[in-house]
Amino acid sequence: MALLEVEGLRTTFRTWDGALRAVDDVSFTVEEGETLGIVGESGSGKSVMALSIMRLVPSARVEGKVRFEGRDLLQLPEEEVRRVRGSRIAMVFQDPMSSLNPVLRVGRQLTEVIRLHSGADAATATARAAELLSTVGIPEANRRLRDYPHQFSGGQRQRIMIAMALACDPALVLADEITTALDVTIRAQVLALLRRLAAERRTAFVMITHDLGIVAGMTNRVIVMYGGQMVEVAQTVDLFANPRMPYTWGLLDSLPRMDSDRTEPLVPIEGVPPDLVHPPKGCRFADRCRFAREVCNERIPALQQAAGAEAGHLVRCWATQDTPAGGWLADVPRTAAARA
Amino acid sequence: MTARSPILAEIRRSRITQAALLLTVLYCVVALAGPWLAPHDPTSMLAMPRRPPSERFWLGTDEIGRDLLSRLIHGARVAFTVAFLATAIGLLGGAVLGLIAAYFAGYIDSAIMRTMDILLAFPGLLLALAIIAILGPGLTNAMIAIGIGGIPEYARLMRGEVLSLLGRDHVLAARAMGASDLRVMWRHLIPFTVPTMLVYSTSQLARAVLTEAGLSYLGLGVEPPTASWGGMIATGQAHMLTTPMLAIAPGLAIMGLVFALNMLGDSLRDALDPHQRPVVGRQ
Repeated sequence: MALLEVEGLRTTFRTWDGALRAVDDVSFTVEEGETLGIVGESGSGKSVMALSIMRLVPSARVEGKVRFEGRDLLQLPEEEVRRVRGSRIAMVFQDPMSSLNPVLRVGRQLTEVIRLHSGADAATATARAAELLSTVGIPEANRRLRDYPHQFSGGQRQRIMIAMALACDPALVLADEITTALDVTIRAQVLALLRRLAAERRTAFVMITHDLGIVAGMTNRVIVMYGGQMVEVAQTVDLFANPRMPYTWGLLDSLPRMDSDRTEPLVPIEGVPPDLVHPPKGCRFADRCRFAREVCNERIPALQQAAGAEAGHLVRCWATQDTPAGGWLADVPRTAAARA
Repeated sequence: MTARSPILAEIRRSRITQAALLLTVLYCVVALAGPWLAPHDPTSMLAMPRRPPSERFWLGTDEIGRDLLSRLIHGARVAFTVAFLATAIGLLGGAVLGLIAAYFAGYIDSAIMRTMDILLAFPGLLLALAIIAILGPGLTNAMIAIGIGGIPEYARLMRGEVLSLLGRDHVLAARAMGASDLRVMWRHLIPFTVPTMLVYSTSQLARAVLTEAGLSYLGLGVEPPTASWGGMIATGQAHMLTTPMLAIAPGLAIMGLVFALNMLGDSLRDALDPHQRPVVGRQ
């Protein structure tokens, strides 16, 4: 049994204009020790999905199943979910500058989490907190425990958040854009830290990001999200070698590459993401897709095996599925299609 | 000045703050040390009524021959007691209700805040009068009445503060770490509301002093013969033409205290308002 099984997750907000479905029928699994990447642009539902798993979305309807270690988190009483949060599933957020309570000493914040979930006494918790700080690479841990968050740099604060997330040896860490607010050199350090921890502790990570570079370097499998839906799922190697969804092509083309001519312009994806209160009838990406045909605007494609790809490489796209209605890009190699 | 003590910086910076602080401290000392400071017993008739100021009676005697200065000093105790306890009632009641309303949202929020709106619809003194009509007159009931009157504004203020805090990352992060509702409130919400609540409390203190004076003036606050500034004005005004000191002295005492508290509140706001301070901790 997988560590985390998400099945048909739907998160709906009530707005003045109507129901906004931020997460639409998302299903995936995370195995123990695995690192799963979730990519997509802003507003694609990545963060809300993570918060839905933790049951931390205020005033939204969350449907579906979130089986974690055999129990459906969405059905558990609040008290039980709280015991899971921080101890079995931890979450690290995007902005390290504001994720720590500015008026509490860092040591206090760390030991509170440890004591909350383990019932350790103050001395044991302090020792553990110091150990965690050194694990994430903060020197003079014992002394720094007495410092306030503003006495740390952004990169250090994100390390502290990671330390806090790891405080109770969780089985799963949801990392929501954790390197977005850091500069490039610090980003590399934090990612190296995560890789080391994932390898040492067999912790499973869900890396939520819009940065394909992180996905390439960190993850085993990738889910590409668009407009609240999963649009492509593949092993990371397959996704980069043979992406099948035009949206993924767009994501890849908007990145600079080592092997491309430097004078070649980057290609942005034209247009804007869909309105999720009034989602389009067909494929949500059809409006922005250069390869869209009539069927794309009329019927929403199912998430199924992509033509000409490894088994388990799923795609929600008429053009690259081998179906009677579509499949017109089924055998176009990605590079050729993108340059066409 | 370090950024750690914006209050000290404000005191150092502004003469008005210094004056307000000095005046408030003076009133506090008088209120605290009243029984030892007052030259005479405030409730004994010691001389002929309405004597002019003399060496024995610095401000003269009142309409039945009690020492006016001693009564003023003892009136300060009443004013402070009522002001502090009434403000505390309003602060605690309002903060708790506002916190619950904002945190639990939905129907709880609507129920609490609509009740507060109803209370707010009454002018402060009228509400206090209505509550006293139910509870009966007296010092304790006056305090309760003024305190309840302060609850709605505190609740609204607290609710607004907490709503804005709930969107902050560290609150979400704390919940993601498994913190309970009570812990989130106590550790991650309440400490951040202290400056605002403190600033509002200074003006609330001033308002409580005024309302107590108003109630005592109407004979619904402190019961005679205990001295209270409002009551002294009420009895003194009958002799306004012959012995104006009887009404003017307690009037000035009220004015001075309210002025000092309001000025202090303004200074505190200047010192603690995050919008008027450079943000610390962000590059």
